[in-house]
Amino acid sequence: MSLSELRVFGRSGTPISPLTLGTMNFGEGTGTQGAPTGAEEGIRIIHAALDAGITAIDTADVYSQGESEQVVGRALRGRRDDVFLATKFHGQMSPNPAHSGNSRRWITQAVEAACAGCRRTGSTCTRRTGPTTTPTSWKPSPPLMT
Amino acid sequence: MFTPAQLVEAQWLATTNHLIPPLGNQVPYSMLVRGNERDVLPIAQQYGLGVLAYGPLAGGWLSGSFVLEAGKPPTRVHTLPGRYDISGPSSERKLLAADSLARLADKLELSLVDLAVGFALAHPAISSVIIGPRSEEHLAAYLRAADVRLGESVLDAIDDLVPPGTNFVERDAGAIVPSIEFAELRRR
Repeated sequence: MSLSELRVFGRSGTPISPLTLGTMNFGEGTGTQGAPTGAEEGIRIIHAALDAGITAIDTADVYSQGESEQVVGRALRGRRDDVFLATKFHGQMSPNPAHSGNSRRWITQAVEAACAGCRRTGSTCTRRTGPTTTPTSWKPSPPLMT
Repeated sequence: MFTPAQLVEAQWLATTNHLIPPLGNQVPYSMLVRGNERDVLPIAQQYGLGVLAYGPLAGGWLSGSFVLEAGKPPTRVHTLPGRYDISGPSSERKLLAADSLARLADKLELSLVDLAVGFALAHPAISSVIIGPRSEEHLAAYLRAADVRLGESVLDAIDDLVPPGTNFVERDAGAIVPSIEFAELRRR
């Protein structure tokens, strides 16, 4: 096995590296996950991973409450098209219950926020519904608790 | 997390409504968290779902920084106490398994990270294994592991230590399914 032996992601037809860089640890740690790796270190790790041959990155809106997505966006400036990028929605992003879950409205907002993170930082994210932004971990809603 | 039934239902719903069926999933998979070998990974193969496997080090249990003798818990023990509670009998079995896997790696002159990543990469349903480096040193260790290809005899030895399909702790599956998590769903 080596990083250059790409594998096709299911029936998407997209080849990706056998390792995917997870970015849950990146951000200043405002989230519940206690992210221990600062933004600058995160960007260095992302660049080192891409240089080594990793072509897939996984993030989520809830990782450090959006900071991980922003770190990824900054690191991918000019390299966005080289990467198979996965992000997620569903988790609670603010005290407003509408800012979570799997409603069509929130999914759209979450994807737009993820893409805005890229645009703000000069990267591009135009294939919102394409395989490069496939949400891989959307979750069923738990029953409404009262 | 999706149950196996939900994964299949999503394909069915999309197909019968002439929509585009989901094509990916992300699941925990490691030498210590093998429950998805039962249904989720075969379903992914059957329906052509790409799979990103997370937690190849089982959240730190297979990082190599834990040694049984020292009784030192993995670093995230404080942030996710439920997952790292080492007092229960299931966790005790998991600890022993982690220790025996570390010994196996030693015998093979591999790092435990090599063995763990090599194992996750070996399943044919897995498209890619998610790594979670906190530093450039961690990244280097993971990159070295990408070059490891485990032979049949090594995979057999892992199966002997942790039988296929094993989850030591329910919540290691990624989430507890609502039907058993919420009392309201199983009481009139």
